[in-house]
Amino acid sequence: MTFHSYQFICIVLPVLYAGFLLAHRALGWNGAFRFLGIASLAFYSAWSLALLAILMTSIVVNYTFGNLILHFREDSRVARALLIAGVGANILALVYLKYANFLIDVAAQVAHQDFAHMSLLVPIGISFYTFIQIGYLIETFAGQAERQDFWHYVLFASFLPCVTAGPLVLQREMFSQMRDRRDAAYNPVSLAAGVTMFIMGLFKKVVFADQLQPFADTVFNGVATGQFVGTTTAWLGSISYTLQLYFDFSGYSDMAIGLGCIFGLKLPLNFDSPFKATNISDFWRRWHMTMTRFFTNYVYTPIAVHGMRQIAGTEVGNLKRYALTAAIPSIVTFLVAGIWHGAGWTFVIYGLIHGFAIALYLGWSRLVGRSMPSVAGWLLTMSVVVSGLVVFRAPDLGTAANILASMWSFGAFAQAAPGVATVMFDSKIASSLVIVLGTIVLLMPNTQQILHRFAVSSDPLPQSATLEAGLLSWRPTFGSSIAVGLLLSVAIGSIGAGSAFLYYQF
Amino acid sequence: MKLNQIVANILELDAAQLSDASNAQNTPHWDSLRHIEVIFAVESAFHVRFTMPEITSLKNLGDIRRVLIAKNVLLDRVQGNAKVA
Repeated sequence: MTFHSYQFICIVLPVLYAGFLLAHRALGWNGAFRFLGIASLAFYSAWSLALLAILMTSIVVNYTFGNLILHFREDSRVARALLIAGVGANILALVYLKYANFLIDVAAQVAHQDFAHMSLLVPIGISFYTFIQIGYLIETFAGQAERQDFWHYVLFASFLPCVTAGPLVLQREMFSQMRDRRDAAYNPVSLAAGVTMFIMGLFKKVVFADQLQPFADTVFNGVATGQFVGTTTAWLGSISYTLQLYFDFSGYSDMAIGLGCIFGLKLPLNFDSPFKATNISDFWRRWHMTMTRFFTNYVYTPIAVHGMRQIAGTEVGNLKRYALTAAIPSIVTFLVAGIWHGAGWTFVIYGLIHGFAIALYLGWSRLVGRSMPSVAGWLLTMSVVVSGLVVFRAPDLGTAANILASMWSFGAFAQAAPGVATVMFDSKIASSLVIVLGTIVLLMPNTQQILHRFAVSSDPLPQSATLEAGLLSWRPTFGSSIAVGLLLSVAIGSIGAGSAFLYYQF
Repeated sequence: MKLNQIVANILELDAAQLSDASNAQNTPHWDSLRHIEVIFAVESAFHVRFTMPEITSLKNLGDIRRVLIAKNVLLDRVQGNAKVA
């Protein structure tokens, strides 16, 4: 069941909210959180009971490891061994369930033999709930977590707004909200802000993202079946996919954050107008922010710190310093982040593109010492982003290479007879959509800026938010409710057989 | 040397441009590489060593100040001149 279905919006959400209020009234916050934990497991079981069993096993194993680490915290060798065993168990389970068949393919290619695939269930959200819990184990080892009530832990690891596709929460931002709650469960303004965030996310998904999908699919599926597309069609298809992914995933994230606000547990922001970035480093501070935070904390920083400590107090050349403290950490981090998205060479190359781009940016900023002019920086950043997402979306590297060749050859590879993909592709409508939606992402405030008066997320807002929202700044007034009601009407009318959230596959 | 001045030197900025809220989002030149360089410069100036969990928790200048104070670095060394032993 997805957030943008009639069943969820009209039945599940109202029933859950009523149950949450009743549990709070009868049993206080502790009861409300236990209710939410059980409701989250029930929500997840709608996919399948087998997947629920895998999630529950993951929760029980990680909770046990966390408590063992806490128990042995005075003996750092035992605690470290437990941390390594716990993180290792998570990674092994993830690799087995998600990457086994990819590794079998790689082994088959190397050995020039055919190996049969395994029949495996890939649990929805496994990359997310596994990484959330790895973060918990690391922070527990670091002395930043305390022993938790089991049902609080269940809620942290399986909270229904974020169990399927994030945001990747940190234990401290969830448990701190569960501890010592005093405020009432029913806060009309917070509820209204959360509902507004949810509706804006729903609108982004079912109106914007689903409108773009056919244009992206026509190009990518057409080229994958051996057809040729010209430069303009290739660019329009690629930009359509870039915008589709943004509206889909940021729409999902807004809905998740809105649900968190409705149920009294605020979630971190995941997007912050990424297409306004004028360099690639800034882009990753604005795109899938909780993933960037995770990989920065647990991959980039340890490698960079290790590199810096290696050369501390020694005379090394600038190139070696740059390699150890910037280039290698960036490339390794994005390679891991690419592979985290899925099993396939396209994700490996996607990660490497961004790893090298970040490494080059860090080298440039250190060597030249100042930024490029904004327009040049923006064009370069968006070229890397759109080209990278071609590799990310393509079913294989051959398809990606053909689309990129069409995009960057500027007509040099033009063929006399365009394929069905080009004939089916309505360039006028695609161009109009790209211009309208591109203008929205570049010039309009984002959802958290519109709601800046009400803390809908667990993150502080940037100081510029109030200025950027201007007249669109939301307040709980009659006018705002009419506007949000209109958005909801259009969104409800647009819910169709559209796709599931794109990030459900990761 | 003041903490703000140490950070400003790494970021090639005027120390007056920095406050405890300064971070990678709101401060020019503060990228992931300079973040690591800032941490090492502070370690070197105040003769402390941050643990990995401390390093990952340092998001802005105020965080660095708080961790230094928690490490019993003398307040005048944090707010005023660092007395190099």
